[in-house]
This record gives sequence, structure tokens and C-alpha cells, in this order.
Amino acid sequence: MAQLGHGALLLAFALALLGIAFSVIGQRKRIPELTIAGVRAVVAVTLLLGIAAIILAIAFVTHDYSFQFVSSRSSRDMPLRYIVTAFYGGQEGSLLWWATAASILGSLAFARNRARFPNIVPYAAAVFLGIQAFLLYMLCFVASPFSLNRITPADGVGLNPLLRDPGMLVHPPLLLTGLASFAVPFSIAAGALVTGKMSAEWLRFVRRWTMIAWAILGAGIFFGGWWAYHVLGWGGYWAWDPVENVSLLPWLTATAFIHSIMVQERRGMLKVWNISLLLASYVLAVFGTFVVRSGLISSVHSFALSDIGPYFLGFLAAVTALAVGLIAWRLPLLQSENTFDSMVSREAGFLLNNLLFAGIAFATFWGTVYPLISEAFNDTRMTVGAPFYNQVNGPLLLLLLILMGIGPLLAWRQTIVPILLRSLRAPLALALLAIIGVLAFFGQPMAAIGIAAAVFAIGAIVVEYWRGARLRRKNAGDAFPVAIYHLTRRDPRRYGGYIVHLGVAIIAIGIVASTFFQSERLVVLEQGQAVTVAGYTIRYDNLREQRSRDARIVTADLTVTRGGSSETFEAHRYFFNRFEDQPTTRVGVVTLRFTDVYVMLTEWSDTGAANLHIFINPLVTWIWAGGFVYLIGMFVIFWPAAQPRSVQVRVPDRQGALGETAG
Amino acid sequence: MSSAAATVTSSRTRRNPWRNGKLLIAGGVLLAAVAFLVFNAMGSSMAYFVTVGEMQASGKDLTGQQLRVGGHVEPGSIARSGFGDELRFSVTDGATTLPVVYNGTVPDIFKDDVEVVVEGTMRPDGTLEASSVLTKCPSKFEAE
Repeated sequence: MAQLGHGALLLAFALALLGIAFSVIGQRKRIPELTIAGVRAVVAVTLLLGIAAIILAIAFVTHDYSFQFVSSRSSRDMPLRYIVTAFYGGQEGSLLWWATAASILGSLAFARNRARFPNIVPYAAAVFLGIQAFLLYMLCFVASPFSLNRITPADGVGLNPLLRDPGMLVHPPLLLTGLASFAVPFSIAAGALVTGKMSAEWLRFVRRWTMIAWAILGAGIFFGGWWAYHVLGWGGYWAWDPVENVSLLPWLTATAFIHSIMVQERRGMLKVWNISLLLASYVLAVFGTFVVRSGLISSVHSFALSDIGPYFLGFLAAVTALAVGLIAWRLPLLQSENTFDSMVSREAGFLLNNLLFAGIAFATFWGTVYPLISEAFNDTRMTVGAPFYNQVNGPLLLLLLILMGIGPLLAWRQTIVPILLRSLRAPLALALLAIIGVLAFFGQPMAAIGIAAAVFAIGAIVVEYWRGARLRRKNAGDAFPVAIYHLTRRDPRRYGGYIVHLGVAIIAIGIVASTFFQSERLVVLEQGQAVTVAGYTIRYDNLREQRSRDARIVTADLTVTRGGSSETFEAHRYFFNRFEDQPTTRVGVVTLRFTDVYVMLTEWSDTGAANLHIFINPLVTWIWAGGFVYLIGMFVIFWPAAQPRSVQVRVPDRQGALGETAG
Repeated sequence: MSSAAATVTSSRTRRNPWRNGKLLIAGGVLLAAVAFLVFNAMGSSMAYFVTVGEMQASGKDLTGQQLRVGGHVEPGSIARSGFGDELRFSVTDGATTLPVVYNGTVPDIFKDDVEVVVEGTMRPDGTLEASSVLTKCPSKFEAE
């Protein structure tokens, strides 16, 4: 089996190289058959990677411990769901996952669009196959998931206890797929730069695939935060750790891109900037992988240091050189067709949005690599912590949030300010109420401003929806909910974008509330004793021990009371078999009145007293709810638009210009 | 975009060249603001990142300094006077050691020999008063 898997990878590697030659030569010498074969190599590579992945998955499920990778990541007592996740629980497997996921998306992008873009796709496929060839080389010769044990052990080592959590089912696969899938838009852009054929249709093609990569990566980051929150026990979901930061960087540049690309679609402007953002997104995805895997920057979650670092550095250099070289070469083709007419226009709004995203990305990058910079120039290694990111990115995110409310109401080219102000009246009034409310009840001016900005954005989105729905109601006589449905179906990009914005605003409220109003307390309690933190009374009832198949579990039974309502919950400590010296926390979380009571059982004495670390986290559930809204918005965006019916209902933008989208 | 409209745009721009200039100024102001925020925040949240050996070798008086020190937990050094009291342990690089006191929750995998990054302030007596103790997980995605 292992030989078969290894063979599939070797064959895929050879086919990838062959495919590059075929598509490039076929295109240059005008031999269509050769070109077609080259593009089809992407599909063939995908099938072979699929075979390799299936073989590895079967080895995991059947406990085939002759595979080194299987025996070092799984064991017989593990539940099936974690045995399956052990697939990407290590370097070799996650590389295989990365290559396979990218390959599937690449096949979908290239095989289906070859006829539509006969010039671009062959070169795009060649660049893509080059990327795949690198990954396949790593899988074949550097980090093979199919290495065999000299002696097959009776049982495996098992997966690291920290990874045995439902978060493992969603976060790593989505994040890896998200990062990997930026190879597709990167290749499409590279192919267009090579051929110099950057049509409007190409723009839609590349935008669509950027959105897909961006959506998957965003979901991956989101579930990472959710996982960290309920398993790491420090009461938060984002720590500005280097590993987190590098996964955020490509998401930031891609988010900037999917906004500013609309300026290019509408006005033919910002071409150099857009293509740079797009190519940078993949370069940053590779950079992140390199940083994470090489141990270059010290992080809390340092992955096992390995020898793939130098290879990735070489790959990073190659990808960067390709990106910079192509843009420099094609600079004459990337001239702007228009100039800005007004400071108060949709395009100026997008430009500001981009500068803010770029600012956040730069600050995050700077803080992450600062230890290296300071060591190189100053000989002392300095690090910056979470306060740095909060101080820099906080104000920038606040501006973005406000802009998110105003931006969609701006007209292209030039906005008539009084009309803009009129439609901002309701959101502004709501924001004012929010400021007064937060200040009156909770104090904290910074929090009041943050929440007011989010409320303002939500208000503006509601106004946009309401305006569209009212028009539709007038013209087609639909009931309000029906009108909203049809509105969304007619222009999913625009109205789906608003739903994403709504999700972001809800998340922002959750982040502001849980950052500014968190309470924390470390206590030792005897059984039956209670403590009150921020108005929530937590009683420690009982300590007990139980056994599951793969672990010994110590449980503290707890009751929380506030006002008339009370709720029981449990905080656990797991001692997994073979990892007895690494007890693993399962935080006890219960939500009362939108506030998380978050308790970590850290220790217990022989008498049954417990050392508890208690956090009161307001509105963290809003973050998860906002994330859910965000995902819904994403699905709406990708939902095919309904064809215009006989009743033409145009939704005018402010001042009557037909608004295409607000992203 | 019809060509007529494009012509109108460009001629208008030619008459009003300051429009793009204004935009550049706005962008410049924003970039300056970002630079200021970065510079400003650097000062308040920077910390030396050193290993125990580097710290002792530098010979500098680090009292009151914000430090991040990397090293391993010295085997047998973890002690605590009573249940729920502050924790004392030493961080070592094999040759030199640094005593640490910490009042908080240690990560799950905190134990003898594990690699840690301790962040805190230096007391006059040469003990590091830790505000956070981070263990280097064997990794998020790798077994030990």
C-alpha cells in the first residue's frame, strides 16, 4: 500500500513537470492537442494525489502501523473521528492535504474554463503545476507520508492530547485548504500577466477564485479562534501570536483585493495595486507556512521544527520573484483608464478601505518579524506583544468599521453630500444612542466608541436593505420579506456582501465587549464553597473521576447563579493514555444572558479543594453568532444570481447610479 | 464606460489636477498615521527576548526591565509553598539558571524540562516576576 501511495506521488510529480512542458510548448508552437494535454495534467495530478490521500486515510482507519506517519500520530484507543483527523496532525499529512486540496480546486478552475480562456489557462495551468511540482517533490523526497517503520509496532503513539478536540475537525483542514487555494488565483493572475490578456471576463474569473480562497481561509481562521477559546484556557480567542498573525496576513490582503477589484471592474483603475494584492496573498500564504514550519520566529505553538524550512524559503523566493518580475514586466499594460473624480466617491471609499487593510497588514507583519529585524540591526532580539497590535490595529479597525457603514452608500465617481448625510441620519442616531447607553451603564469610552461604530455599520446595512426592499415593494408589490428575498436573489454579490458586513459588525461588538468588560479571578474553593465574580456566583459542588476509552477524566461540577437563573456545568481535566504527564483542559463554559462564565480547573488537593481560574466573558457568543452570519453571507454571494424576470426592478444606488455591489 | 464619458472625465481631470493631489495627501496622512501608531505602540509594548545564558552574559542590570526569557524548566525546581499559592521554578539553558515566581495558571503541558517563554519584570533580587508563562507546545500539530 505504501509503495502504491509513494508511486502515485512520484507519477504525479513526473506528470506535473510534463504538464508544464506540454502546456507551454503547446501554446508557443500552437499545437492545441499538446496544450489540452498540459491542462489535463492538472486533473491527472489531482486524481493521483487523491489516490495517495485515500491510501493514507485507509491506513489510518485500519490501524496500519507499518506507516511511520500513522503509528506516530494515532493509536487504537482513539475515537475514529480523531484517527481521521490525525491525517493532517503532522507535517507530512498536512502537506498531502495541502497539495490535494489545492489540486482539486485547480482542476475545477482550469479544466472547466479552458475553452473560455484559451490563452490564459494554459499558462495558468503551467504556473499551477509548477507549484504542485514543488509540493510533490517535498512529498516524494523530503517529507514522505509513506515512510515505513522498520519494525511495525503493535499500537501507535496517539495524537497529541491538545489536538483531540472537535476543533481539530474543522480548523486545520479549512485553514490549510484556504492557504493552499490561493495558488489558484495566483496562477490565473500569472497566466494573464504572461499573455497580457486581462479582459473584464478574466477579472470575474480571477475574482471568483480569490473569493473562494478568501472564504475558506476566513472560515479556517474563525474556527481557529473558536477552538483556542474553549481549549486553551486563557479566556481568549486571539492572542496575536506569530502563527496566528501569519495566517491573517493573506486574509487581509485578499479582503482588500475583493473590495478594490470593484474599482477596477467599474472604472478600470488601481490595476497595479490590485494585481499586487492578489499575488501578495499567495506569497504571504507561503511566507506563513515557511515561518510556521521553520521555527524562524518563536511562537507559542511552535510546530515540530523540521528540515522543510530551507525548501520553503527557496519556494518563497521563487514565488516572490515570479510575482514581482511579472508585474514589473507588464507595468505598461496596467495603466489606469480613469482618474479619481472626487474625494467623496465609492472609489475613494474603496481606496481608503484598502489603505486601512494594508495598514493593518503592515503593522501585523512588522510586529511579527520585528524580532528578526531588531536582531539583524541592533543585535538584541526585541519582541512586541498583544498590546502593540491592539494599539495599532484597534484604531484602524475602528475606522474600517465606520467606513463599512458609509462606503456602500457612496455613489461611484461623485457623491452628493447632503443626500449621503440624509441616509446616514438613522444610523448616526442609533450610534449616538449606543454611545450614551454604553457610557451610562458601563463607562469605558473606548468600548462605547467601538460598539457605536458597529451599531452605525449595522444601521447603514439595514437602511440599504430597507431602501431596496421598499422600491421592490413599490414596483412589484411584494410583501417585505419576499421583497428582501428577491432583492438578494437578483444581486447576491451586493446583498450577500451586506450580510457579510452584518456578520463582521456583530463580531466587532462581541470583540469589543469581551475585550473591555472581561473579568478574571483565580480562586481556591472547598467543595460547596462559592465565589462571586462580576455579579455571577459560581459554586464548586463536587469533584469526581471517570474513565473513557482513551483517557482518565477529572471533573469539577459547578453551578452558576445570577439573579433568578442558575445553571450547572462541568470543567474537566483529561489525562490521556500515554500522555499522563500532559493533563489537558476542557474548559467549562456556560452562557447566561449573553455572557460566558468560563471556568478552568487547574488543580485539586487531596481534600477535594479545587483551584479554579474563572473568566467572565461578555458577548463572546456574539462573535460565534456573527461568524455564522458571515458564513451565511458567503453562501449567498456564491449562490447563482436569479435571471432577470419580465418585471424589471432596478435598484438604484444613491443618486440613481445602478449600484453593482458593495462587497 | 463609453468613450465620450471617458473623454469628459479626462478633460475634467486635466482642468482639476489637484483632485488626485488631494487624494495623495489624504493617503499620505493615513500612512503617516499608521506609521505614528506603529512607532508609538512599539515604545510601550517592546520587550527583550533573551535566553537565560544571554541574559547573564550581557552583565547589564536588568532590574525593572520588561523581559521575555526563553529556556527550559529546570527539573525538580517546581515548588509551591501551599496549594493555590504562588509558584516558584527555575528556567535554565543547561549552564545558567534564572529563578522565577509566578502567580497564575500554568499551561497544560508545564512540567520539568519543558521549553518555556517567561514574560515579566526583573526584581532587584534577580528573580523574574512572571506575568505570563508560555510553554512551547510540543506543537499544535505534532506529536512529541
